[in-house]
Amino acid sequence: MKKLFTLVFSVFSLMGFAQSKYELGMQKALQQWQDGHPKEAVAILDRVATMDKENWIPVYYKVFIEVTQGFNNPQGDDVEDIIERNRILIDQWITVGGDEWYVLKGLNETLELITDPMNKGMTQSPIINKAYEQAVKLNPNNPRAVYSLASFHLNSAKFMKVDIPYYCQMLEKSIVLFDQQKSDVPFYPSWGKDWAVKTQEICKNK
Amino acid sequence: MRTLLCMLLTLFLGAVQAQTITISGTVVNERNKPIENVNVYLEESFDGALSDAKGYFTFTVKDTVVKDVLKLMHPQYGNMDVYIDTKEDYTNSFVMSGQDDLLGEIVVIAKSKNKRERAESIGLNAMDVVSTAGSPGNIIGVLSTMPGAQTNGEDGRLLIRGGKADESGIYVNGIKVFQPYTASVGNVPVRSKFNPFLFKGMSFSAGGYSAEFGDALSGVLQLDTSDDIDPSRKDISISTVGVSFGQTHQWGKNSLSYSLNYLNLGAYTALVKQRYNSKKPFNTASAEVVYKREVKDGGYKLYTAVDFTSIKYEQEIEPSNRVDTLAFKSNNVYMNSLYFKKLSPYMRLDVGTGLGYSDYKGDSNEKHIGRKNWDLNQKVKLSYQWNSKWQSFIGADVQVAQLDLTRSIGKYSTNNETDATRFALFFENNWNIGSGVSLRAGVRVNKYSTISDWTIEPRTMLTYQMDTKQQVSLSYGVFNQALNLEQAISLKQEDWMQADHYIFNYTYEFKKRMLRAEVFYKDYSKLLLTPMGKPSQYSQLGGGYAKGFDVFWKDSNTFKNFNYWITYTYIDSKRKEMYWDEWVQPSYVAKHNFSVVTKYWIEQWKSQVSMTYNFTTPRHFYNTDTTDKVVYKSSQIHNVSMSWAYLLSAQKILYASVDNLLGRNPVYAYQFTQQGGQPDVINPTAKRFVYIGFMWTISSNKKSNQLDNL
Repeated sequence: MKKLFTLVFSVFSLMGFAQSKYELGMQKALQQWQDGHPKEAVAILDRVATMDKENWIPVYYKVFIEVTQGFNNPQGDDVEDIIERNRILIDQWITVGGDEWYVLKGLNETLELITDPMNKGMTQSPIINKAYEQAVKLNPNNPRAVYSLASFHLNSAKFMKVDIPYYCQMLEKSIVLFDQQKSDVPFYPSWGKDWAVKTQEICKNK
Repeated sequence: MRTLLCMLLTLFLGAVQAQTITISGTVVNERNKPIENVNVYLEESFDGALSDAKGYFTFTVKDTVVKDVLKLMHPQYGNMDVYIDTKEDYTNSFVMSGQDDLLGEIVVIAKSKNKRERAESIGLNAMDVVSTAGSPGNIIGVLSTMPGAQTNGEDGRLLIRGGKADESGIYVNGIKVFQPYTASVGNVPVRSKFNPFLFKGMSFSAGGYSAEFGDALSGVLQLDTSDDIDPSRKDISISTVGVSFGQTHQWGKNSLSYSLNYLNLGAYTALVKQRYNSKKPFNTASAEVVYKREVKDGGYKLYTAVDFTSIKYEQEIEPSNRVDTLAFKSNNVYMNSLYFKKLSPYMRLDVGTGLGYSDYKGDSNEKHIGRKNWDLNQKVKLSYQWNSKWQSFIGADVQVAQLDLTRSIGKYSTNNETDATRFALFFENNWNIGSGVSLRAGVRVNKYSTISDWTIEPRTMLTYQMDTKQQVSLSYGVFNQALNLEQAISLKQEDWMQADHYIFNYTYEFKKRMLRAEVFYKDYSKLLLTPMGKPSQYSQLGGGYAKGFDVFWKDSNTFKNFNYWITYTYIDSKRKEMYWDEWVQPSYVAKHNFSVVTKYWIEQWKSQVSMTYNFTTPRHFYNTDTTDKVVYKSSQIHNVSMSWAYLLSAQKILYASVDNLLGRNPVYAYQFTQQGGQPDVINPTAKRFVYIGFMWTISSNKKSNQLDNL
């Protein structure tokens, strides 16, 4: 799981043409992140979010960066505070943001799980599963939702018996959906395909 | 000369061509302390930086002129705007003042346990309880491995730092639980009645606790059901001793959970030899219901528990070879409701009610006891957040208790009825004074129906946070308790029993490891003395003390997949109480208590294996015939327990546990007879206790048709 998230992903639709102020800010933030400065990226996203209070995308990336940073070091001292802060933001935005935010919720709760899988596994698993299922229910064509649900179960195979072929099939479906995804909204989340392809190794080994 | 000129020229030109402006500065608060992590940036371009630990920030702009608003943003200090119009480098210092209200609001909403609270109490969750070997599902079992806590083999109740069992108060959602243990007769140890999964957190305080609670000389255990609504699911569990079925149903902003349990030791005791002869095996039928409703800015939680328990058995007592016939029947109902609402962003109201009824009939040979208890607890609490540094609450707490007691020996029977009312007001403040120092100061006043005087109990705790990892705290408090109703039948109480607590705590926490050391001194006064054979000459001239220290080390990080904690408690206690009119070490106290709890997750086997080791030094027993000056010592206790949980799938768990793996047969206690002579010894009822169970959770979301929908 951890290794999976250490993958730096580079699928950004960096647009080169005439930019609005919002686009400029978002691009600067994502560039910082790509260059390995997550803290600065989050700071810029905070700035953009202050300007554009109705838009969930800057906050989405802020939470997403915080969570993926957490995955790199789940034993960090401040991880629990970060999870708690993210929860407050997720609660605020989940009705507006819809399926993408349920995926984010699942990721944030997964971070909580991996801080102490032994003790938190039993209580966190249903919460995570429910978040991803809700995301799939809201939008069955969201590749990140389908991928996350499949990947969560495939990664739990280490701890318990899982219906692997079923979730592998789901994973393949997500890759098809990744290839089909398109959005007119600039900076709409598009991450995940690399991870999905990587996760397929679990299926190949079996 | 010429080269020098060239150099100067190029330098100058270079500077012009770079066309950058550096913006820098420092941010401090009103007290001139630097503020870290201030997000400083230019509004138009989003260029900026975060301030460092010294409050310093710097960033460069690729432009010849800056005409923009410099914004400063911090979660606690709010926002600040400064207009800049410059062609040169810009440096300035900024003072931001705290936005107290903003932070305060979050504290009330999240109601999160802050660090200051952690020093006095230790938090536990359901998984800690079920995954600790030796305590399958028994909250008190895991508590006995906590610093300052002790349970005795023949009794099972929670003892805190040299206190008797009824000196510990147990609370659910801040409301007193009147019968927290299963009923018992003879020397069958009791268990906690609560299903640990119904509670989001358990917090155990071994003394010096908050003014919100009273009438417990030693300490309190707080259990809190979660405020959030539970998702729908079904749980089935089958074990060697019983079955249980539970279901949670969620609709809209409501959730209803119930669990039905039936436990019968008949099959188990038939198979595994016990040291008693079962006439009617231990059996209990119980139900728990939790209803939760979310309302605007608040919620309502109702917890109800009902249980019917009975047993009848014969036991031969050594060395007198007397055969005891023991039986009891017990019916209990308990209801606990809590309504909470945020009246404003800074004010929270909690209204709690507890109602209990219990009917107990116990037989010990020709002696019979019938006990009917009615209890009511009503509590109102108002919390207010003045600012981010100061929080207060005020409240009132009323308890009404009624007892109908029938005692008979053969044909002779007496019946007594009594009741009592307790009333208390409490007020407490939490100040964060600054530079790591915080103070909790409160007061509780109590009135008991038969005692004419009010008591005033100051409670304080001073905490100093040395750095992010270490803190020390000092607490002092006065605690009063009235006699229990059963005692109140035979004597008229004129004063409260009192205990003063002095506690020094040191806590060191880093990366999921925790070291906690506490030194305590407890001074008891006005304890009840009832001279042997002359019960009418009772007085409250007794007294006592308990002093010692405990050390707790918990580590969930050093070893992969391996968690453990180690606890050691030392208690030196002497009392002059009941028929002991000399200073003696009370029979329920063990001087040294040591436990190690380990939990290991084995990935290849998809199993969690846990082991618990308990060591207790002998306790002292004294003959009721005071001419016999012999101190009878019980055995040293070495108890090793193991449990194994195997995850068949996320929903199915196979569980096995063995208590007293080594099969030791210690002498738990002595029983003195009126005839005098050698006392009878009390041993465990069986060598080992083996438990095998299967748990199955069915969540309402069915996966079967998910793929089709995609």
